[in-house]
Amino acid sequence: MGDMLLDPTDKVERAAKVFAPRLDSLAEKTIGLLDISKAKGSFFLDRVEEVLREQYGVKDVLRRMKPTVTRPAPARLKAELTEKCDAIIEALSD
Amino acid sequence: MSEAAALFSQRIEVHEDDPVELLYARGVSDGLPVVPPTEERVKRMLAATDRDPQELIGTIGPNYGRATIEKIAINAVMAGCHPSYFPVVLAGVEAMCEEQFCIHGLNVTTFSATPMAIVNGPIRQQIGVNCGHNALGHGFRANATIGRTLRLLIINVGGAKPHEITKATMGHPAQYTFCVGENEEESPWEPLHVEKGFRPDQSTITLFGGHSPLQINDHASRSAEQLALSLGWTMAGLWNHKNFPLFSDTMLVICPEHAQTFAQDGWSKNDLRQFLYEKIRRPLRELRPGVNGGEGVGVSMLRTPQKDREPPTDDTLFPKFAKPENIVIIVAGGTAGRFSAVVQGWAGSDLGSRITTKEIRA
Repeated sequence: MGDMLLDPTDKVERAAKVFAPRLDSLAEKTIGLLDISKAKGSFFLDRVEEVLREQYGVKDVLRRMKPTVTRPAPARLKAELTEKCDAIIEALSD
Repeated sequence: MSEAAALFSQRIEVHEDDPVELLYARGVSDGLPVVPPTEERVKRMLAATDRDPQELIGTIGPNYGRATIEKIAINAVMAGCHPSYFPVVLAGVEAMCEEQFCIHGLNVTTFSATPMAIVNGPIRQQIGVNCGHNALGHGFRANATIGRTLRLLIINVGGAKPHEITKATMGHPAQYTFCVGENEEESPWEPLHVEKGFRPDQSTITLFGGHSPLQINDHASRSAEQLALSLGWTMAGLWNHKNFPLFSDTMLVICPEHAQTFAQDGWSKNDLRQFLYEKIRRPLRELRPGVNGGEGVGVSMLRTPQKDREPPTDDTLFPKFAKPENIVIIVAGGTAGRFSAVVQGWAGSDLGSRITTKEIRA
């Protein structure tokens, strides 16, 4: 038997992610738009909201913004979007 | 640690392999060879503290791996630390894991951020942290390996590997290691840790989330005001030449000769901060997007003026530094040469990374 070394990593166990079921149509659905708080993200999302309302007949668009781009979204914000929306679009911008 | 304390990490059997190549193959290096973390070496490192190897200091994003004393010791061995550095490393990890330091964001931003470590107090002489000539450069084991341990922990415990979850656009050499001692002996001012409320005889490590150093040459200024303008207008280009004000802190590393020029005119660190805040300003007409480049003062600042102020006009002066206290000042480097340096910070304030100081306990 040769030398033994110690593993420098910390293995983090994570459950496999399962995609939410895909929507057949956006009509009459509530869509969440999450602005991650980067500059000018609102311009992009304004247009996305317009397209969703005019071309896809969504029931509602819920606009929310992360407090800061530098940290993950707060749990309460994620819970609210999950509870109220049928689908969520998270928008990066730069 | 006590002799009987068990080490919980998984064992890696070397067999006939070259241990350095084996560790490369496992992806646990920063690109340079690492010292193989044998149980013997790790136990020597752990002997430098009486803390339990399984004590958790904190977690490191983006993977939120657990930085236990044992994991920190393994990575300190790999980085090449002498056991006498271990208390400094432990305090550095405590700082890195503070919520306000926001290591998750630093590790995943495209900005190429890295923790810059500043060591203060008597520990500098005790373990040989370089503060003098070549202070930000190579050649000193303590500086090189303390900073490198933080990087290896970010990779091996935080899970932040380039081309995977961390996608810094450019990166830079200070990401390998970035640790400096403040040259308190050549400074006319109180050192950083005393500014932060510690006693001079305490030792501390301070982490600043920033980029790489940019050297500023000024061999001609002979007054505090001339020199401050020279340094300040060079710093006016940080992030980009129209980024007024910065949404970050800035680390100004003053060389001893420059520090003397300020001291001769009776300037304190606060005088220098206040002067830079007041004088490094440009009018909005020069800062509008499209004037000398597409960048400029953000639209949000133009369309939502503060309640008690008129909307800005072309003549409105915008400061480079949002507040005087956004400028952090230390003295480092050798006594010959008039070269200071500046490190641009990543996103600062409560919405980004805050400079964080921890006491080093023996």
